[in-house]
Amino acid sequence: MSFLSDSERPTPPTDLKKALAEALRHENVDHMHVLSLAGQLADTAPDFVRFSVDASHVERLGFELVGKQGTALGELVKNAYDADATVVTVKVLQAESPAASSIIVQDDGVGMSEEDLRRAWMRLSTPEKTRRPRSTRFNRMRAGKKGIGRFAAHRLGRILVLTTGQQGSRVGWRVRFDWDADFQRGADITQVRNRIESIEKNPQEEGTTLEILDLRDTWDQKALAEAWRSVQLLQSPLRDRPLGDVTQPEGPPADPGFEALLELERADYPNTFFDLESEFVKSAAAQISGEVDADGRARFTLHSVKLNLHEEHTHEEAQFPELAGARMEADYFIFSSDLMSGMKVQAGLDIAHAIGGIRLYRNGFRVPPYGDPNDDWLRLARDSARRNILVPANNSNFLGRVYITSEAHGRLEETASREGLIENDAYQSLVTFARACLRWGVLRVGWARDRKTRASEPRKRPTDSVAERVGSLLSRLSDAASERDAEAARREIIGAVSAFEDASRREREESIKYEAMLRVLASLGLSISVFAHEVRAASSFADDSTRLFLEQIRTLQWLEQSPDLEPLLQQIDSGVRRVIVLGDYLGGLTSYAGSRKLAPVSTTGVLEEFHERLGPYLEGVGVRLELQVGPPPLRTCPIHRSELDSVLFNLTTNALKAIKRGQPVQGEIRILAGQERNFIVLTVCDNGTGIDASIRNRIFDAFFTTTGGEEDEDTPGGAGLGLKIVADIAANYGGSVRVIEPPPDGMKTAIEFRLLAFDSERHTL
Amino acid sequence: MNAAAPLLGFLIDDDDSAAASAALFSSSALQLSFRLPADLEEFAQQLFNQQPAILVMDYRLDQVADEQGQTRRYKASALTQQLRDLATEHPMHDCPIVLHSAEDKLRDFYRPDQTAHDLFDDIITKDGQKNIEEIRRRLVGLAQGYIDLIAVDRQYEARQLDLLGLTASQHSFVDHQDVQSQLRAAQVPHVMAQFLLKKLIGRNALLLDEPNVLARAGIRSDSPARARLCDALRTGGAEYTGVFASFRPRWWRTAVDDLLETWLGGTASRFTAEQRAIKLSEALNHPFEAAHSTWSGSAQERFTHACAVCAHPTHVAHSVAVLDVGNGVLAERRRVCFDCLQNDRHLRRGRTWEIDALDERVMRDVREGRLARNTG
Repeated sequence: MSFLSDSERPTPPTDLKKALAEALRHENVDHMHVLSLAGQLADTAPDFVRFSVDASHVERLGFELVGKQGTALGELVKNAYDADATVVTVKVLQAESPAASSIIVQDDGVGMSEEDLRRAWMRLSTPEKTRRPRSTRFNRMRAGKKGIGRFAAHRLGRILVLTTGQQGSRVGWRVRFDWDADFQRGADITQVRNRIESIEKNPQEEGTTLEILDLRDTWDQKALAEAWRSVQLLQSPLRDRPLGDVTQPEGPPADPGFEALLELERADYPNTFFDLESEFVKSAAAQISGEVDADGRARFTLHSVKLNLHEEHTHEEAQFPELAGARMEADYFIFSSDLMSGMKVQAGLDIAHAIGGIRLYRNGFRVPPYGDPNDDWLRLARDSARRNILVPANNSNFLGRVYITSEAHGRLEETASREGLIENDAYQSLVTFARACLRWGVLRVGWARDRKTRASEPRKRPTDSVAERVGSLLSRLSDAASERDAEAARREIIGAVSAFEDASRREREESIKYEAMLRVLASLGLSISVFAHEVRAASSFADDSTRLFLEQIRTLQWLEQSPDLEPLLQQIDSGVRRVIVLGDYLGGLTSYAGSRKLAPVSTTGVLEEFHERLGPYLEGVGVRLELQVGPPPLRTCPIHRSELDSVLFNLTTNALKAIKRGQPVQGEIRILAGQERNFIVLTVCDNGTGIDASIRNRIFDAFFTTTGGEEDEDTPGGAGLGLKIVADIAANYGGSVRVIEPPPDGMKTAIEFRLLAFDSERHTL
Repeated sequence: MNAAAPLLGFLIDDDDSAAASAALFSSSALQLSFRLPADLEEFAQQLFNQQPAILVMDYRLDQVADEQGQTRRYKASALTQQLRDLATEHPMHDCPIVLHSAEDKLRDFYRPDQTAHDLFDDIITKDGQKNIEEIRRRLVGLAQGYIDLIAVDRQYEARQLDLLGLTASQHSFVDHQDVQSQLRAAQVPHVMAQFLLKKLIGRNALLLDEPNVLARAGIRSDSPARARLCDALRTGGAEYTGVFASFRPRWWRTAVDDLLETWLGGTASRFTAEQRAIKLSEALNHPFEAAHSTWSGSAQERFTHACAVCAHPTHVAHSVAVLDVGNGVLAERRRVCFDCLQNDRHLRRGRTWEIDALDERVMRDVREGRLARNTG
């Protein structure tokens, strides 16, 4: 079996030797003919075989390997960066037809000498960038590595004219490549000659210019926008910080930075798109970022001015040693009117669908397709579609970037096509890291908004995600490949809206019920308030009567003969005391409740008073109340003082009920208080029965109660509103409430309540 | 000074459950009888005619029905005004009037700087925190004080040394225009009592309360050794033994300062609390423990006074002044220590103190947590 046709069959070695000798005898040696004969002769060696490369291979490296125009343009820009350019200008000169159009990529980098051209630029897959990963002038971590980026020019046009020169030299070099005409199938690539000529130049000038002529594609508005976007996105993170490793060894001058400019001959494409993008970023609900430290630990940070949420978190579930130094940042968008200040929700959704996503940058340059509109490398769309997560967390909810470097993350290698990384275990780690960071951030934001965030939690406010869901279905509808797909999308939209209506109706019913119960409680509160004076007076009289009774009865001599009576008297005393203390506490609550004024409150002071007033009562029923309070004042944002009392009272009485049910040897309620960034955090723990995992997510729901069953003979059935009210108070003051798992040592339950701390920039005393 | 037979008084309340309170507040020195209120004028006259040693009354006397069964409502202030008018005509039958109420805001009414009808001599709050022995002592002290005032028959200025428990050499303690003017002007016992109870005894002025004495000495307010200090001060003649002395124990400021200067070898404010404790231990041959600042935690502070809220020693650099209007030149400004300020103790129910505007910035720094605890 043979792969060769008759015309391709090799010439016998003897004939080749003769022809070679003949060629070398000429005065004007035809170098290419000599090279061809020598090559053919070498191929006749009986003991060895060798590869040769077909000239059409450049087509594979260019047209087939780099699929998109934008990616190709990006590759050329990256080459300019590697050449220590500070500015690269991309001009697209449009004519009537692609053949008459051209692209000029001009940089102010170090340029090339004749030797550089011949030995490096003209050599395929040169290991130069691998051997010397950093650039010579600014010590930049080179973006390219495989030495094939230059063939992106082939992707863009049929002819390339390369002009280059170095500083200090009066001579520059120009080479013309006619890809389609010269690099014909069947020819050996080494047989293709490309004309080089020397040109005069100013010794001060340096850099390289690529003129790409006879373009392969029509550069219509959409393609221009895409290319522009590609160049813009390529460099957008570079404007803020140096590329790659920021550490600079001694010696090289500081990197002045790098900027890619796109100049369009038809300059009617306005800057509005990116102006809109910068406006869009301002409407982000939060900024989520993460980084992997030198030990491979991932640390996440969340900042939200709108929600006054500022948190840090160390990811404990996994470590990422191969990603040390990797980092990411993302603006997080929630498309609801309360969080899209300055921008309409629909406008935000439109922009988000166009530019949203998490992009990946390697050595400071974007690696496509990560973050492209239809890319789901972090499986965010999949999670949202499957409702694995209920808070907004689709690709369009983020505008973010993941940064890696080839030096630190050698195992994260780009594919030869420059359109993706090799999907090895290091890549999977990167995905895990980025997903974990985003997931943590959105869940924290979800908590802050007092929303159910995972599907395992039954309550779900329909308004949370209907816009998001319908938005994504509308996208599906507009991208539908067939009428069948479109019909399916339409059905889903109707389904989503119906589900929303059903859920809204149920919520409305629940809300009416809840409001009715709140009215009951409010009127009860009013009654208590009205009678508080009488209650305190009556309990005071009861106290006086008991004291008098005990004082007088103890003077009676016969008491000495009745030793059994003394414990009974003590019980009377202690019982009345408990009533007095509770009456007094009640009086205190109603006195604070009278104030309608919101004021920042010292949590330390409130806890101190709470301990003074309720501690004796708890002690009377055999429960120890312990406070562990951080440095004062733990001042809250402006709040109704009585609401904080109500939180403490609700959580403590719940703890007391749990202790009564659990009957530990020594009942204990522990209240921890401290400040975490912008939050005052109160945690009420007890060593009662604990909260069963099956109800943990429901305890903050209205009307959910565990008391009143047969096992609660001592405890009246609750209305199931205590914790709901606590959660509402937390939400009202920018905080949240949750069950802490596991609870602190020795405790069975821990419920954390947080609310915003005093901020002198925003609040006044 | 107590009479052998118990003094007699009345506790008036529209709730007959208060009869128990009357019995409870009674002691071997004072017997309180319970009375339900009746028609205002007639009831006032009845009470006055019985020449009680003291009257204790609820603030709201709401459930008073006349002969026709019509409910008549009045407050203790109305009844007291009637009684004070009668006493002005017959000063020999004047007596102390004490409020007994659960009203949280009662202190606002009672505060001398907030009400024009500052008629009451003391207040007993209806709550579970009351100390019965102290109430009994206070009631007896008040009753006895009025008896002493009545005994001098309006010769307050002339008999001032007897009234105030001073020797002739100690006259300089009260030789102030404010005091002398009041002693001259008062014509009835309850007016004199108002001055003594509210300006002299009720405020740290010429007389000091125990927390302020301890602050000047730099001694812990809960230290058992404080009794030894009080003994030494008593021996040195610094204790107030005049009228109402058993109502509230007080110490002559001048005498306290003089004695401390002798024991410490210089003005107290020159020394830190630790230095004062060491010097006092040597001078009085008894171990004294220095007070520590509630703000800095240090015993190296030069305490000057007690916090008006927590009673612990503090000084000007670690406290703010309370707005204090119309209390004359004698009274020292009430001050609230930074620790109480930061924990909002000065705002607890029943307290309506306002911080002096001059200290407002400091107050904000403390309450907002900007001022570190280890600094001034």
